Amino acid sequence: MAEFLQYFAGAMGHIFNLSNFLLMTLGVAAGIVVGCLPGLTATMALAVLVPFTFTMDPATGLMTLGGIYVGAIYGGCISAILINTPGTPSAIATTFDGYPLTKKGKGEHALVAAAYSSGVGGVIGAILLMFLAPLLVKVALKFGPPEYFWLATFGLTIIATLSAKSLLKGVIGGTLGLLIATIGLAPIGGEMRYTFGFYQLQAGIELIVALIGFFCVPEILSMVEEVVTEKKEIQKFKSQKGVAREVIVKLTKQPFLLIRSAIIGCFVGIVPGAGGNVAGLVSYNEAVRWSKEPEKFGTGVVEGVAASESSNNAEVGGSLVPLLTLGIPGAPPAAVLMGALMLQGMRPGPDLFVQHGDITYTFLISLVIANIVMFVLGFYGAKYVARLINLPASFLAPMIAFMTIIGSYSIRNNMLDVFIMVGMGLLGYILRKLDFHPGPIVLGMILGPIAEKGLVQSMMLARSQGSILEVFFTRPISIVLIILCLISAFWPMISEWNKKRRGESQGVSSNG
Amino acid sequence: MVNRDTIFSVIVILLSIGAYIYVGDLTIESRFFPQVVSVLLIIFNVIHLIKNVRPRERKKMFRNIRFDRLIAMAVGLIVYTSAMVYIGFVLSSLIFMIFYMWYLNEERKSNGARVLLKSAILSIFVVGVFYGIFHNLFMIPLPVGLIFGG
Amino acid sequence: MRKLKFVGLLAMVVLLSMALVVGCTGGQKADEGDKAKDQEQTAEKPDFPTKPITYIIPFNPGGQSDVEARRQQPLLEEALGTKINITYKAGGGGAVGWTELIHTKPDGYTIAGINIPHIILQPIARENAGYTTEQINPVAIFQGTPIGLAVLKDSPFNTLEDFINYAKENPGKITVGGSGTWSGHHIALLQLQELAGIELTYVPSSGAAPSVTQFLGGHTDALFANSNDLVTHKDKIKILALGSEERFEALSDVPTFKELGYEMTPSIDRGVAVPPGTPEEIKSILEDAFIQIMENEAVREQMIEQGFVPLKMDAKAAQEHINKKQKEYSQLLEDLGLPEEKK
Repeated sequence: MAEFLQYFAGAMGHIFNLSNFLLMTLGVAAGIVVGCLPGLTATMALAVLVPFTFTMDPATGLMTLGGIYVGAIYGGCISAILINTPGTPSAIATTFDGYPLTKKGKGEHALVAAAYSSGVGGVIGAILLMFLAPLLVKVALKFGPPEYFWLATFGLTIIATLSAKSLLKGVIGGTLGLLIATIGLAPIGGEMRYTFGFYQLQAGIELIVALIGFFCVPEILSMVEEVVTEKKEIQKFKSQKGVAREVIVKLTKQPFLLIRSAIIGCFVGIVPGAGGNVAGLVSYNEAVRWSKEPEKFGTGVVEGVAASESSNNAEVGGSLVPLLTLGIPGAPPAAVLMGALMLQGMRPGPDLFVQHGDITYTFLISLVIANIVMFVLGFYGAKYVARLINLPASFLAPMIAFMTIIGSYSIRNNMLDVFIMVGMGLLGYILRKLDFHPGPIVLGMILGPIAEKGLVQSMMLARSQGSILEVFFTRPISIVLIILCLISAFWPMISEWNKKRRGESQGVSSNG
Repeated sequence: MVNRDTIFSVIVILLSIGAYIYVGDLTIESRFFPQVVSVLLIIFNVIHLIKNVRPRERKKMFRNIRFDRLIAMAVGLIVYTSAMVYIGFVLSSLIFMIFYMWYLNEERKSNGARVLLKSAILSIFVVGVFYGIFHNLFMIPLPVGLIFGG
Repeated sequence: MRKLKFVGLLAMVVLLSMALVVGCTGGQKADEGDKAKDQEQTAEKPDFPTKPITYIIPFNPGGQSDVEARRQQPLLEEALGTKINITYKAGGGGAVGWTELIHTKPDGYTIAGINIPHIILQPIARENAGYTTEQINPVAIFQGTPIGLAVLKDSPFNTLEDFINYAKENPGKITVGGSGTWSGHHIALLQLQELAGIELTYVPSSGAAPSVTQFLGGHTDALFANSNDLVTHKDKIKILALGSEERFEALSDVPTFKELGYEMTPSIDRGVAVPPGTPEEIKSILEDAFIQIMENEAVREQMIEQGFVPLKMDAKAAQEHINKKQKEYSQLLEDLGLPEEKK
């Protein structure tokens, strides 16, 4: 403890050094801008800006990179809320309630909720990282192939929550997503699947390309096809006074929502390979389950936005746990950070805290501060950013279309991706007309590879150890996950049944 | 009996059968998952098919919308992307943006020239800014176009 | 009158757009035009480079190839006098990036990181990897990462002999992790199986990092890993053998497979290449720049500290190395009847 205080003092010195602080703030701002452009991810932002940090000393460089990471993960919510396109995959769940809020004219509410929850979640994640890293990493290591499989399956049960109208359609969507994800190199078998001679497809369909296609393009088409008379009323954002206060008070009255979401985010983050994409969705699902008014989710409630954003920023802290303690990145942006650390001569791993304690603690504490800075920027920016929606469709539609094209190209510098994006966009539009929500499909795409790897690797382990049942069903963490799967999958049915039961007993007493 | 849900399911069932067969010669590790998923898709869609065979009330798919603009935009996206391969990012983006900003604008019927000018200026500005950010700041090379030797 | 105004405006719009297009893309063309002229005039020493060079990394940012490229970036920029732009084209274990490489213009302005044995194994194992090993035109190989076999500290195996003896009596029971199918680790396992006459169960992951994580968590009994990962975690593991030619400085008490009697030197080697058909003069300018880096003491020390073996192969040596390894691996795969013939 004495050690920590010693480092703490040193860290404070570094952080509140004016030029360091300014650079970090600049990093957060840059991260937000990059994060909100669909097609540019946190990973890309870091990769591009790492060279600029070479000339800085390690503490400054790390603080700036940390700021960029935090900002970018938050930034994704801006486009998610305003144009239903997650700027980074971590913001997928933010679209579920964020965009409906914008359509109701409450864009600013959503943006403030996102800024506040991101800040709170991020701070909680950073604190958990700072104090519990060694403990958390032990849990992370216990995740072997069967656990990954059950984790992915648990993720898939979220489809039950997302498909309020038709469970069957949601399930079909999810399964389609699973199939789409098999395109490319088989993770274990190593053979090509469904590439039809296109060498670019060896890497499969890039998630962000599918996200932009399924979420954004249908919105562009909807914007364009709207009849003129209605246009004037929809999406008109009226600046209201006191929105920020109202939202913050509302959320602070529900501390469990934010704390629970943050913890989920941090835990998902520590499991390498699960990534921020999943954190937001799992947390959203839990928020729905624990809420007293679950039907309201999806129609535009700030709680939905809060759940997603709180957890994806906490995930930042989580993803750094395996990185800093073992040298294994928990998510792609963490991998870039690892590269940056190594180039500065700091090898992430158990020695990091011992050999470079002061810089490491500086970095950790700066993450907390960066989240606060991000909250401030988001909070004050919300009002102005929300206004962008007021622009007429004749400008917005081509503009957004242009951004989708440039964004989907930038991911892999690959023209085929743009064609895929457009194709998926048109497909997504048709699917929407057929009452298929894009959420389950995208969920299938994200979780498919994780489920497949877990499944096939487990079967290989079983082959050598002799028993499939033993491998899949007798491990402690697996059992916990299986129970979670069952609860999550059957929850909608249980809550329906509960409601009916309550309704009946009331009916009886009022009649009697 | 033949409605959009049943047609959809039939198409997906056919696709799934195709998917199942296509990976047939791969090793068991590579084809296990896609085949399991294909089978699941077939099962779910058969259920879906059965559920929707009976005719029922459906909302009109394209109720009360401006079909011409919808098709124009959809086709436009396809043409834009294809054109980019040949004439490069900047040219195709400019043409796309200028045209659609003009086309979608209601005022063009009364004031065509002015709207066109506004669209042009805005488009050049937007394309220029984004090109600058992506090409010079992020150093992402944007397509130059086949006819320019890209 | 209205119509005239319209036409006039349209003309202005078209002119303005063309100006923008020319401004953005014309710059590039102009450079190329000059360069062609220069090449005609001075046949001996081409005026290269005159514009930025693109360095393709066929993997995700943050990975080892990326770290190496970034280490080299400032030195390359100094040696060549131009900017180096690192771009990422991940996918298919590198195949997407290498396929891109062979399709780019062989003018020296695009180089790509290459990995052996990936560029050898992928075309053999896949019907269409998009490229063939022969199309990769190497400029230099600067780093070697010998592959070693490791077990956890509490494992009952203390030497390679223990491991092999147990495997002989319990075929298929030992699970060994590795970075993927048809990767250097997979080949190492196949080689060991053949040379020692044993049967192991290979549990591939999708990359080195996940395989290390799984191993540390105790989900696989043993692991084939790269030397840098072995060095990072050396206090948690016992390394039974390493695939280097001689003992490695950073892991000096680990025997090599060779000295234990197994003729195998599994390793992941990193280098750079240019598209086929790149003129020799241009290639040698690039080669010289890389040779400078390979001789740089600071770079060599950093590499060793992190667990890499600095190598110094110029274009000719690199090509020979690739040919040698190609023969070795294709022979091995042929002997084993892999990849399985499609039914």
